[in-house]
Amino acid sequence: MYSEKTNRIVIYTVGFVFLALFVWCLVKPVDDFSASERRPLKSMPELTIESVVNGRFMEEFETYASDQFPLRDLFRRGKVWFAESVLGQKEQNKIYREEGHLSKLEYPLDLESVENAGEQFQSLYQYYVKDAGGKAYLSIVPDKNLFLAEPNGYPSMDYEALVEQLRATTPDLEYVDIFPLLQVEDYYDTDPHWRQEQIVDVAEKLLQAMQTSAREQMEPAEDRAVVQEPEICLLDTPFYGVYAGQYGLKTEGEPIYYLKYADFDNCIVTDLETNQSIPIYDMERAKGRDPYEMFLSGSKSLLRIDNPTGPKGKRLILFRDSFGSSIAPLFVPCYEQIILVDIRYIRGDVLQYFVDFKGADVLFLYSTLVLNNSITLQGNLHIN
Amino acid sequence: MVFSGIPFLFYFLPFFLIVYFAVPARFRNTVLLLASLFFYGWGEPRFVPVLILMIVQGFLFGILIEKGWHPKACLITSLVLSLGTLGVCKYGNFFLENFRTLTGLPIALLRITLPIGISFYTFQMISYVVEVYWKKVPAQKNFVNLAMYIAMFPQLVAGPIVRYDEIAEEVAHRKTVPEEVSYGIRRFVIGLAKKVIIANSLGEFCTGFKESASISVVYAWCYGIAYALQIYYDFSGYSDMAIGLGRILGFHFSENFRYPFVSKSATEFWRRWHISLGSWFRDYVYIPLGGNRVSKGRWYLNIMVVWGLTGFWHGASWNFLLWGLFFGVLLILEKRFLLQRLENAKVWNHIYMFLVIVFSFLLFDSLNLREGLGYLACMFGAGDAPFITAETVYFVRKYLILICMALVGATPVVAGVFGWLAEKLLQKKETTWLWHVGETIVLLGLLVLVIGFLVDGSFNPFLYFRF
Repeated sequence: MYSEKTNRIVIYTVGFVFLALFVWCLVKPVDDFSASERRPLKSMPELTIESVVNGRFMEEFETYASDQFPLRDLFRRGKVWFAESVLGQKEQNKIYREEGHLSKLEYPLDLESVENAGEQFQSLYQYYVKDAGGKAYLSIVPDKNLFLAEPNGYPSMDYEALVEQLRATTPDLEYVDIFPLLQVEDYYDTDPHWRQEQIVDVAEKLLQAMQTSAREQMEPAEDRAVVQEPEICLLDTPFYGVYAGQYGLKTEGEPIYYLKYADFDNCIVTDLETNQSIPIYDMERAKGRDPYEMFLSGSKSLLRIDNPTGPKGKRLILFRDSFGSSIAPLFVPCYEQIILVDIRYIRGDVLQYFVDFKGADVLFLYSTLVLNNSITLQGNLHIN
Repeated sequence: MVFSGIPFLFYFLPFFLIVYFAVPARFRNTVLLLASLFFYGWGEPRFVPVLILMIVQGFLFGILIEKGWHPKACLITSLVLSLGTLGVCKYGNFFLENFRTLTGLPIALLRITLPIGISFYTFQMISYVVEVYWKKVPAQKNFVNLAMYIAMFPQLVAGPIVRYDEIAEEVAHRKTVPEEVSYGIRRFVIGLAKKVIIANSLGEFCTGFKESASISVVYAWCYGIAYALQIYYDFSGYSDMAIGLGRILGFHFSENFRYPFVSKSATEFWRRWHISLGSWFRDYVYIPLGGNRVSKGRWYLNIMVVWGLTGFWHGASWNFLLWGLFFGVLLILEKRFLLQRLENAKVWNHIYMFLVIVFSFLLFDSLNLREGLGYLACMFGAGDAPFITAETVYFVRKYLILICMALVGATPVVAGVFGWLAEKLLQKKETTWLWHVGETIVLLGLLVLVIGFLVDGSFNPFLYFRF
C-alpha cells in the first residue's frame, strides 16, 4: 500500500531521530545536578570487571542514561502535557495543581509513623524536660493538602486522626492548635512550605501559649511579640519551589518576603555542628538551588540563636523540621536564647552533650509531612 | 537490557544497526550473534554460559541426528538437557517446596535464580532439534548461524517463540529492502508506545490497587480490567517491537497476537493470544499425544495436559497451573456444548469472553490462589469491601480515559481507521503528502512521548521477563 517515497520518509525521519539522539547521548557533557528536580544526577558508573560481573555497572548505567538524556526537561514536559491534556490526569508523579497551587499527595495516613513520632517526642520529654523545670508544647503544621486535596477530589489523609494519634502518644505535651489560623494562601504556590509573612499570627499564638504563665509575672512592655513591628522585606529574585521542577510543566515564579525585627541586628546565630556563625537570613542561599534555605541556612541539625536584647533568662528549645526555619526568627524577640534541634540529623541521645534544657520552654513543632513519614526521625534515646 | 529502556534505544540499537548494515552481508550473522550475547549478558552476565551450552548441545545433537547416529537417543538426550536445564532453573524449587510440604522433610532449596528468557530459548532449541529429527529441516552446519537463531536479541528474552523452520531460509540468506525496514520501524515504534505509554501507565493503576488500604467492588473490577489490558499491551507491545526489529534485519517472525479481546470463545482466544506458544504446544505436545484423533476421553486428557503445561510454562506456581487448567476446562466445555452457540451469538459471547479474560488474569496476577480468589470475591461484594470509596473515585477517574483508550486500542478499530485513512489519502496524488506528514508526525510524536515517559518515571517493569 505504501509507496517507495512513504517508506523512505519513515526510515529517514525516525532513523535520523535515533541517530541524532545516539550521537547527542555520547557527546553531551555530563550534568551534575537537576535544578528543576532539585537532585543530583547520576554520573557515568565506574567500569570494572567486578561491577560488570555483579551487574552493578549495568544497573547504574540505566540510571545514568536516563538522568543524562539530552533535553530531559523538555521531554518530561511533553509527557506531563500529554498526561494532563489527553489522558485527563491532573496529578503527575503525585504532584497536582489546584487553585493556583502545586501540591504533592500525602496519602494515606500512616498511623504507625505518627505513633513513632509521638513516642519519640514523649521520650525526649521524659528524659530531658520533665525534671528540668520547663514546660513542653506540641504543635502540628498541616501540609497544604489539607486545604487542596479533599475539596478538589484528591485522596487526602485523615488529619483529625493524625492529631488524635499524636496527642494520644504525647500526654505530657500541651497541644497548641494552629490549624484554624492557616489557609492555603499562607503557603507558597510551588513549594510545600508556609510563607513567613503569613504566619505572624501562628507565631503569636504559639508564643502566647508558651508565655501564658510567664506573662502573669511580666510587665506589658515585656510582651515583646506583640509590641515589635517587623520590617517586611522582599527577595529580589522570583522563587520556584520544590514542586515547580518536579511537576514538569512551566510555572510562574513567586515572591519571597521575609520579616526583620530590630533585635536581629544584635543576634548571633551559631551552627553548633561547625561552631560557625551564620546569618538569620542567608542571602547566598537565597540565590541558590532552594531559596527557602535562606531561612536559617536550611537543613541544620543544631542551631543556637542568641538575642542579647531579649527577655533575660527566657530560653526556647525548638524541636522542628524545615517549617521551623521560617517561624523561628519570629520567636526571637521573645527569647534571650533559642536552640533549634532537628532530630532528622542528630540523634536524641546526643543532645545531652549540647543542649541545656533547664528552665527552657520546649516546643515540638512538626509538619504532617514529617509526622506521616517519621522514619527519618532519630529521637529515640539509647541511654543506659 | 529491555527494549523499552534508554540504554537499548539510544545506545545499543543505533550502534548495532550502524555496524550491522556497515559490514558485508556475510558477517551480519556474526555481528548479530555478538550483539545478542552482549544484549543478554547486559542483564545477566553469569547466564551467558547457560545459553551457550544450550546452543552447543543443540548444534551437536542436530548434526548427529541428521547423520543418523542413534537419532532417537540423540533427540531424547537433547530434550533431557534442554528441559532438564529449564526444569532445574525454573521448577526445581517449586517441586522441592511442595515435596517438603508434603513430607515434612527438611530439604534445602536450590540457590538458583531464573535465567532471563530461558523458557523462550529452550523452546526454540527444542523446536530446532525436533524439526531436524522429523527431517523437516536440515541440520544447521554453521555454528554461528544456529547460535544466532537461538540468541537473536529481538526475540531472545520475551519471544515470540520463533520456530526454526519459519526462518531457516532467512538465517542463511535475507535481504534488506526499504519497504520491510519502514514496516519494521512503524511496528517497533507502535510496540514501544504500547508498552511504555499504555502498559506502564496501567501498571501504575494496578500497583496502586494492590497497595491500597481501601479497595472496593468498583476498584476491584477496574483493576481486573486494567490488569488484563496491561498484560496484553505489555506483551503484545514487546512482540510488536520484536517483529519490527526482525523486519528491519530481514527476518519475518510470525504474529503473536491478533486482537484477543475481540474473541467470542476461549477457543478463539487461544488462536489470538500468544500464538507462538499455543502453536508450539499444539505441534510438539498436542499432536504427538494424538490430538483429537483419539477417543473422547483421551482427547480431553490431551487438552488438559497441554493447557496445564501452558499454564505451568508461565511460572512455577500453582496459580499458573490452575490458570492453564481453567482454560483447559473451558475449552473442553466449549468443544462439548458451547462453541456453536458462542459462534452464532451476537453480543453475550463477547461479554462472556471478556469476563473469562478478566477473571483468568486475576488468577494470573496473584501471588497465590487465595489472593486471586480474594480479588474475585471482592468483585462480587463478598467480605467487607464497600461498593465504592473516595479513593476509588479518584483513581478510576484518573485512569478512566487511559483504560477506555486501551480498550478501543485492543480491538481492530484503530488499525482499521488508520488503514482506511491511508488508503484514501494515498489514492490521490494531491493528498499523498498529507499522509506522509501525518504519519511521520504520529510516529515522531509517539517517540517523543515514549522518551518523556521513560525519563520522567521509573515505573518500567516487564511482565513477561519472569517467564
